[in-house]
Amino acid sequence: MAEVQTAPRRPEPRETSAAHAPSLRVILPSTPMGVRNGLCEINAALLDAGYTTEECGTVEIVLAEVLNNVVEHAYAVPGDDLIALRIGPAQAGLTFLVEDRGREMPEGGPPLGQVADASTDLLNLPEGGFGWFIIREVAHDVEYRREEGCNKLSFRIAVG
Amino acid sequence: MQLNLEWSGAMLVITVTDPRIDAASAVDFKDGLRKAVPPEAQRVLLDLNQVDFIDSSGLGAIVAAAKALGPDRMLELAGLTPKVRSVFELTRMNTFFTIHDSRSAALAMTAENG
Repeated sequence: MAEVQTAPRRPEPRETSAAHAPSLRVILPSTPMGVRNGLCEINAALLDAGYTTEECGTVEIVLAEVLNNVVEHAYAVPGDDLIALRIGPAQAGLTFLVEDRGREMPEGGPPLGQVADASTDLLNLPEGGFGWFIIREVAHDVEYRREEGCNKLSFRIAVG
Repeated sequence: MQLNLEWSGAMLVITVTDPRIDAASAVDFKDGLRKAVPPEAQRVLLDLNQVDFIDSSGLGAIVAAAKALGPDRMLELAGLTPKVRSVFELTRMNTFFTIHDSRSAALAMTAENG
């Protein structure tokens, strides 16, 4: 199970949203079920913090893609590996930092991702590669760096 | 991954009763779909009204299932909940599938055409 720690509520609610920006730290096992459980707990924490169902859905899909990429590509072999995630308030939205000790991203950075070419037909659609497209479509300020054997991916999602 | 199968004339209605089609369940889902569809099914409707969340793995599984039906049979979708709909729209996948508001809307279309 993922561990979620929620910081104390900020005393002053922000004017722009019913949501008060939370600070969360989550450590989750690098497995598909670990990701699923972590997403559900983060979803619950954000709903509790006042974010709308739609905003939570936006966060959930981006985090799902980021975390599944770590499970499938950075670690690749299921084991006892962990993924660390931090969520904090930003000027416009929430910031995210995802850290793992798996393999470095090929080409030294995240791929662009792909979307189906509108001129193709269903039988020629790709069956994968949508993940990074979704991340880049929704998240802002996507930055990747490799430090001391650790992958660090940060980004911002404009919610709240 | 739980799939409920029901026939309505020549249309096979497959209802996904799990709330998530994600990386943890996509392979299971894809296998389940493949086994579920017999050659005599002319139309296949995937009813997703009980699915709350889908990620790119789930989306890939649906695309794979649609391709597996071949060029003469279509995989139609119904009952997309808000998060599922938004993932289809984000990836433009909504433009490649016939998407009905609900299962009954899809069945009504059969009646009109039939």
